[in-house]
Amino acid sequence: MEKKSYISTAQIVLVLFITRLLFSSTYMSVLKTGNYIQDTLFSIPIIFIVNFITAIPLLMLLKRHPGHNPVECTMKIAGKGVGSIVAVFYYLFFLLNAAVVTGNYENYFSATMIPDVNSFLVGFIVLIVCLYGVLKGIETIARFGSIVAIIYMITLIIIFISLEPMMDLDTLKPVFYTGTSYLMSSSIMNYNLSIQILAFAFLAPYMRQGGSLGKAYAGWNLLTSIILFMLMFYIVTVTGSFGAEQMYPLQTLATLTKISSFERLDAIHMVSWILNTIITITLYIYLAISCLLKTGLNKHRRVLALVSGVAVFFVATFLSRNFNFLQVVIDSGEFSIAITFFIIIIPLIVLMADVIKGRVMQDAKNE
Amino acid sequence: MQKTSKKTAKKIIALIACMLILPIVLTGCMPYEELKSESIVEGMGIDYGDNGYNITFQIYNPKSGGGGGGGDNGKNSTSSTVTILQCSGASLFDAVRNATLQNGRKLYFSNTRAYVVGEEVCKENFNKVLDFMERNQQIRPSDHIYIAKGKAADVMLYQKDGEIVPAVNLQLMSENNVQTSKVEEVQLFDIFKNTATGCTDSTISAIAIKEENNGEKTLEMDGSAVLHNNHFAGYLDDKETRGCLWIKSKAQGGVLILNLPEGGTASMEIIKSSSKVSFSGDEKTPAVTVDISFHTNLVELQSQENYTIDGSFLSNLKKIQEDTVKAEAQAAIDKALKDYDSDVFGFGVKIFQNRPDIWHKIGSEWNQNAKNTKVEIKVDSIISHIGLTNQTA
Repeated sequence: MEKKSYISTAQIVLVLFITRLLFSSTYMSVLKTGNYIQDTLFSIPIIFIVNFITAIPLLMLLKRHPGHNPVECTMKIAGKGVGSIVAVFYYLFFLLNAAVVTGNYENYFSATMIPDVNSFLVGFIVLIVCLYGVLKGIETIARFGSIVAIIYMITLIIIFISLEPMMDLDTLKPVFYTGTSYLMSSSIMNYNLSIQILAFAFLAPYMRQGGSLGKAYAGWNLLTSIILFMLMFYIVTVTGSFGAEQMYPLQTLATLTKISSFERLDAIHMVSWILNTIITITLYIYLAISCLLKTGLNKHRRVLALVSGVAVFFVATFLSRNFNFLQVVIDSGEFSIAITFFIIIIPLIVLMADVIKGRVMQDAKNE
Repeated sequence: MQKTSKKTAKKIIALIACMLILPIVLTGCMPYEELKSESIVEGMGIDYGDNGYNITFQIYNPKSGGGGGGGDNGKNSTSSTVTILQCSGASLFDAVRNATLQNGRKLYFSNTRAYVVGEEVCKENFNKVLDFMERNQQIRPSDHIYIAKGKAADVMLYQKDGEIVPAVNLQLMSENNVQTSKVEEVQLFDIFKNTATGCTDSTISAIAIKEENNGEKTLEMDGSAVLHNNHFAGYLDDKETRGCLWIKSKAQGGVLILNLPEGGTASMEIIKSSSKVSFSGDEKTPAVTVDISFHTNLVELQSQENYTIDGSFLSNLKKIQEDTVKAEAQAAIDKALKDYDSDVFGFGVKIFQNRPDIWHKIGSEWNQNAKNTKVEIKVDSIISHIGLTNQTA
């Protein structure tokens, strides 16, 4: 059984920040914004506020039961049976997200690096590395994530500074000329990408004593929103409507980056992106396994990791060969429903049950 | 004791498993490409052929004097550092793959300096060429593109004495455009961006092979080609190209030769310039105002007259240079916008950005009606320095 580890608030914020940046712009071409790409910028402030609202049930639940994740809270409130069912749901949800990330990684690898390579081989190799990280534990994941966050920030700073002369602020006009349709669709897309709200809840028990849940969450939300906004700002002002049809707009920005005689710095973006992919897949699989460990499988951690890795591998291979599905899944309303169910509805039901149970017990005590 | 031996056995099994699996992941940097299995393309020339496209590649030859290509039916020639490879195909990608029939190595495009498109290809449909370049992951948006006056193959086959890689020469000629501002540095990214707007046409630097008086041929940048709806529309000469650059805020260097009213010429070095385009009409008579401002230095005064460079001289000079720049910009507008119907200046995008309500009414027919736009040019300049003397030599 894994020894209980603790990580700092800053590490949690950095790990969640970096995993949120992974698909910051990859799905933009699905929105088909064309000359109205600037409308998508305003989805970032909206999501900043929405993230606070959607996290309320989770944060309240965690505050009532400090040191426990949502599965443990459910087991405590509703019993082990219901808790186990919830654990399985969360396990599958995290695994699906890990598979989507892996599938996208396989696609990105063959689209931008070596088209001849078998995509499943790419996924296989990266999953071996990720499973190793899963077995090492949350401290290793958090430390690695912090380092990756620093590397990613340095990469972004280089890109931002070198592309500043190419910015054309006129591309920010006109705003909302066709209404709010592009704003809504990009907001939905960003909402679908906010798995980190749930990941935060599962990482909360590992927070060192003295750390504030609310401050940590606010810190993550603010940092992520600022960097996402800057990324989108550069995509809009540098590439304009050309960026709206690009599969990987950030990759395009990196390709245009030039510092003195050093040009085509997309290689440094690729390095950061691949490291980011590894940490994201590792984190999702780790959190998936941590759900099932609470159901009594804590002695089978390694077997669980292996089974989860195999499942992610097969689902990711299927997804990477169904490119339409991979693109649409994040943009779809069905995925929004799934996100809402896992992030809001389940914690809300558990929270309400806890409040009612508390009142009933209080009344019984008073009597 | 038994527990210890079990633990040791497990460790040994785990170690053996790692030793079997690790070589798979320790294969080195994944995106590496072996040089000996790839041919580095420095330049690519695209022309039409009987079977679709005729492509001429300049392939870097690492061994000086060695041959990089070969083939029974290949049209190959080898200079000291580049190998020329010519092949054909029904599409661009087909032609690229057919190159391996002669070369034996896959072509590697990540280091390509110049893409030269023949005039005939541009007349048909430039979009088809663009799609290959936009979709390919090796081709960078920051690569340069040119139009050959004639055949792209002639440009690719031309080698200047002492030039190591001819395509590098093209790239340098383009990047040093700031010395004259008669040449526009055009990257693939500029074309992609203009095409994505749906209403902006592009200009592309034109290359020509000219014959000198002594019979020698020389390669030079010769104005720019104008596209309209991704079809070749015509050429702009040097002055018209610079006029285009004034309007696009890209004239950041070069020389203005001003004819002085009392005889002689003044050479003004362009230091920097900027322009602002604003829309001022309505949907029936769209009107655009272009405000150009620039700074110059007086670098040469050639005249028999003995001028003293004082306030009145400078204000006259300022007026003359503003009129000159206005004439260049007007010539560019007359040629590109009025004659070729090409909105290479981005006026349509400006209308869209500033008056989307008017764009909503005129945007669908902008490609046909752009020439009806009234353009007013206003020029303002500053003469920053006059050199070390205020008299004519």
